[in-house]
Amino acid sequence: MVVWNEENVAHLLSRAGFGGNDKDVSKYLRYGQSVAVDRLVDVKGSPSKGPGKADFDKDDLSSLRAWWIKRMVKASTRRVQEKMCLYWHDHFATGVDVVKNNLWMSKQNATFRLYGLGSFRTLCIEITRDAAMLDFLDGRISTATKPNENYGREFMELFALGVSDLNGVDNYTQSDVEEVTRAFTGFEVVSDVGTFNPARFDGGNKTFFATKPHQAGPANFGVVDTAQVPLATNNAIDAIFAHRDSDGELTMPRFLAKKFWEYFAYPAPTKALLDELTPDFIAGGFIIADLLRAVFMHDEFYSTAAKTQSVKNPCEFAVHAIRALGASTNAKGLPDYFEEMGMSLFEPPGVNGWAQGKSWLSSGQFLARVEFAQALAAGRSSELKLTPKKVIDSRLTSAAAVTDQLLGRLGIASHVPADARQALIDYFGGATNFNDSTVLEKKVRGAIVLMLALPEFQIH
Amino acid sequence: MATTRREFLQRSAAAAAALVAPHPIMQAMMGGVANAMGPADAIFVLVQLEGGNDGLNTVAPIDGPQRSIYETKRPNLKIPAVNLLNIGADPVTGDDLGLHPSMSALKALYDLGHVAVVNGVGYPGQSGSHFRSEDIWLGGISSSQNFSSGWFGRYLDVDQPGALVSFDCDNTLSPLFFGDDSNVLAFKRLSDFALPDDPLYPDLPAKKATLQDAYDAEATDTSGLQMTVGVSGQALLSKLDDYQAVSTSWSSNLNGIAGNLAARLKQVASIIRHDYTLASPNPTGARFFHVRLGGFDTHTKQGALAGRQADLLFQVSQALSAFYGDMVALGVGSKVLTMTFSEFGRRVSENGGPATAGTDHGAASPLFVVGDPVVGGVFGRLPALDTAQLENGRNLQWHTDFRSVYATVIQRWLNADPVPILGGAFPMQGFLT
Amino acid sequence: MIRAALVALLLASAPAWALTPGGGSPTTDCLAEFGGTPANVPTKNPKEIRCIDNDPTCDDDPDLGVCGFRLSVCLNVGDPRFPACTAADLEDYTVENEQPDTNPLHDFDLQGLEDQIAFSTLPVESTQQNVCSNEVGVSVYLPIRIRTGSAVWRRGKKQVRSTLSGPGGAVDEDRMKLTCMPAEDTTACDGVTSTFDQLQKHVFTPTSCSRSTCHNVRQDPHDMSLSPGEAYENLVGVVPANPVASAAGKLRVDPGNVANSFIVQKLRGLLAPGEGVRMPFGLKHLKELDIRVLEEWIAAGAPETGFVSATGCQP
Repeated sequence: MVVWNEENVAHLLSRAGFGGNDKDVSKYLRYGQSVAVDRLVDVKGSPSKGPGKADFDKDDLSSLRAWWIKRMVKASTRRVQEKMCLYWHDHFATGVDVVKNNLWMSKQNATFRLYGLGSFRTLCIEITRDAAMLDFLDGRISTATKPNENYGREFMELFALGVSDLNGVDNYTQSDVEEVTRAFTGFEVVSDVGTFNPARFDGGNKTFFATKPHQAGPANFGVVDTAQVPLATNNAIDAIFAHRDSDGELTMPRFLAKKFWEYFAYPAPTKALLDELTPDFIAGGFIIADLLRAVFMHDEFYSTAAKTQSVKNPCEFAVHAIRALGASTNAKGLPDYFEEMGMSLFEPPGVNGWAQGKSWLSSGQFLARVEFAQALAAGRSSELKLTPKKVIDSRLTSAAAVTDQLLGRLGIASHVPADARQALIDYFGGATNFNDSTVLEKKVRGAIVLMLALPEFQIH
Repeated sequence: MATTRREFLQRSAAAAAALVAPHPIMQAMMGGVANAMGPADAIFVLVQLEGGNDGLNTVAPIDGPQRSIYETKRPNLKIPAVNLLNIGADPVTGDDLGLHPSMSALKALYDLGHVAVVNGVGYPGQSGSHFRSEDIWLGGISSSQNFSSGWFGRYLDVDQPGALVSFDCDNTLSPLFFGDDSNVLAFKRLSDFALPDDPLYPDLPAKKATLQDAYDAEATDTSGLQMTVGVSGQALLSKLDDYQAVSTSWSSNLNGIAGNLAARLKQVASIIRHDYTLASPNPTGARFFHVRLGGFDTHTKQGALAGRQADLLFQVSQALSAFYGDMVALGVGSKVLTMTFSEFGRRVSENGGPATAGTDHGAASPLFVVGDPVVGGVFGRLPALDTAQLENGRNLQWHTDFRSVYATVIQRWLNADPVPILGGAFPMQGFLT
Repeated sequence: MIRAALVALLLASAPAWALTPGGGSPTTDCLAEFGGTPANVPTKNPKEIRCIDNDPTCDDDPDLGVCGFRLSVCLNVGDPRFPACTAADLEDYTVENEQPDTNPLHDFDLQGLEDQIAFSTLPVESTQQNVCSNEVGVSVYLPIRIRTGSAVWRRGKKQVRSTLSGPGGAVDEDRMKLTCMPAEDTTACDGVTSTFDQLQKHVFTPTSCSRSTCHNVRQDPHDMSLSPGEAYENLVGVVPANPVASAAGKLRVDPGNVANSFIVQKLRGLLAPGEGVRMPFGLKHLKELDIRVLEEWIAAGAPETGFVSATGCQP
């Protein structure tokens, strides 16, 4: 059991959502670990869908982005939901620059919001017949006569299994890609909805993973389309989920547990750790919230490694800053800042999603973070508004106390080295009256920029 | 915390390996890379022509059987043979080829042997989509692979991990540079590279001094990712000073040349001048540059002797030639290699009538490699123009894989092994030896 | 070609009042002004170029039914009409109503105008005055109204809405209207050589099927160019790319068999599940008489030459 203290609660809120303020921390501290985690992950799917028209208008796309960012800023009980939306957007990365249809992107985003914590099987089925994905990975042009392997291959490689298992043994062969591709044929996009069309489906028998001991075929695999007539007695996605690795364990749960751990905790977890995360997920029939709960309940999730080895992505960085400082925003200008920081929502660089880790902090993008920090700290309009008097206790009379209060708000007080803290204190130039408007406007706002530019605020 | 740092490094096996790899020159001496010839501080400038440049009117046939097919398929857009700037015979067909008449400046460089024209460059499975084809060119991948990193990003990962040696002359970083451990600056204008300040309560000197002290403390007193970020913060602040010291007021050949490309190359030239000629105590260290010029998507009213494409080619020719002139004048001509590319060429047959003719998305097209190190001349071949030999009956068939051009640059100019970067071996081209 | 070059030369030194400022604040309206064919309506403070088809002073296009306007954009104009407007550093230019190139309403001419200013003319510094781009052609087609036994032109319009901006915050938003009016004593049947030629000129070309992205730029998986010279061979007797339609044995155009011609069903919106969407995609439906010409042409065996429909143009 971990000690349920403020530091651990803040860490949980930073990873499970976009960071919390003092009030959040004390609330989730009161709950205790188990109740806190349950309250976070046991959220019913929300059908909320953003704006977005069926074309590729840039202003329209910008409103969709702003709509989503605003949800992240505001999310309270549903913070995990928006975080999982972002995770699944990265996992099932789809780019509007290819799809060129804001409506389809908006619908996919709603799908992540609705199914993002429920059954992984349902989510995979929904994504398989998702209009944006059908376009992005060519599912809509993959027919019985002209199969296109793009989706089938990426489904196994990036979405469900990985090229090889934890022992480095290949999970599938080219022939498996071809067979899976046949099972995924039959979809097209009609009136902005991914639709199954039997005339395009390859109804012949397919053999999955013939070289594996647990051979799943041959059978007429397809994908059950819940809205329409089941098209095959065997669901191809179930067959893929039944794949076992060279240890004889189910491949998908280990694969997904690894992806979750690397996203929410730290890189390169051990096999033993992963196997501690998956039992509930497997027993419950692949409910995503179960896997997430296992991550957040694990002692290792509260280790120093889990708190210091990941770089916040620009969303996490910016939204956390806004939330922690109690700033308000209409989010209209934020998509541009996000783009400069290297994260254009709905436009990941490729099907792999965004590269995680240190590449977020390449020099140009790091400077863009400082620019965002400056805009936030100097925010005096509805685009971004921050009130210095609300951020600090203006009755304080020493720069050291104000510095500590601000670092505390940002959740980095205990990590900043002493000399860096001293530099921040010195920045106030001996100010003692924190009711003075010049001190508030110039030095308090200024110090916020500097703190948001510290290494400790870039990582979690 | 030592474990933390080690684990972080392990995240990128390639980057970690590169940290302990010998210097490229040493590698060459050890036989790791054959025929390496680029200087250790080789400069490479990649010029991207966005929208799909019509290669057939950039390098057009002057005579022979190709010429008559060209005239038939392009009744309105054909460049009269008499106007084309003759660059000699196609190495395969033997027929004469000519540059677009607006490219006289580049032709003059060609005549001096400083320009290689590589014809018929492309890849199998041309998609015809701007976005997809840019991904393929920038990623250095095959048309069946999905994009995950840029070819130059992978080069940096292997050869210059983490080093701040690249400058993308644009506000957002090109996918060209995406990698595990590439560190690239991206600014449209040098003046954009500055710490921001509060316009109502300016306090920049104090902020900068505080950040400097804070990053110094982070870099020495912490470990793991904290320290890594602290160190790169230090580097960023010091680069800021270096770049702000770069002057763009000097008698560059690019002064007075209209258009976007010249404006961007001027910044590149200014950085190189700052680092190499002024013996500045604070060099930026930038050696790899990417600049873009848009507007080549000439579906309509492309023009022949004059018009949209002529204006763009004029700009490219003037800017490349003036940039070359700057490099020679600065005494770094032997260190600088410049290469152009476009995501695809355009259809052989024009569309529309006399007043509106343009060309639609095509496939193979030529590219230019410019600089003193270049072996001048025509490489590759102009693809056959008769319908039977066109891709899908409409597009120029590629003969030189674009990755073969990259491989030549990586091996013979950047002194690295192209095989792991490009995921396979591609034949060397003769424009570098 | 020589003519265009001359015009460009003249323009570079043209007096400011030959340029059209485009509207907006008098402190910024001189930053970008339209050159090329001068605006002529209304007489005082003109904002629109009205041109009669084939009037050589404003129409650069030899074809009937289309006006070829020539536009340039001049930057940092020293314009006595705007004494409070001072030159600025300028960097970006967008034609706001150009539409992305996946939109059927995308206009390649406006793209050409934007590209010419954005890439070949900009950036311009405040020290540079009266910098004019080369001219760019912008075509405005006359819409056609088909009648029984004839076809007439109607007035064609296009608008340019542009934004010029600079790194120092300078912004100039401008509008220009281009109106093409049919010449007297001409009809839309002038120069039409056959019923198929009429379909090409009145239906395929103007509904942007071939002018825009739809059936022109290669669009996988289907590939059905309706450009002049390509449309006939891509339509008549050709199996549709749509698998449902092809499985049902339909042809794009089945000579003599209107009911089995997929193009008619696509245009009328009589589509089975899986047969895709009604054409033209994203645009107004075709008029009944246009479709009737097509049907009568198919019923008559879809000949490449000869007049075979009582609707529209006659020999």
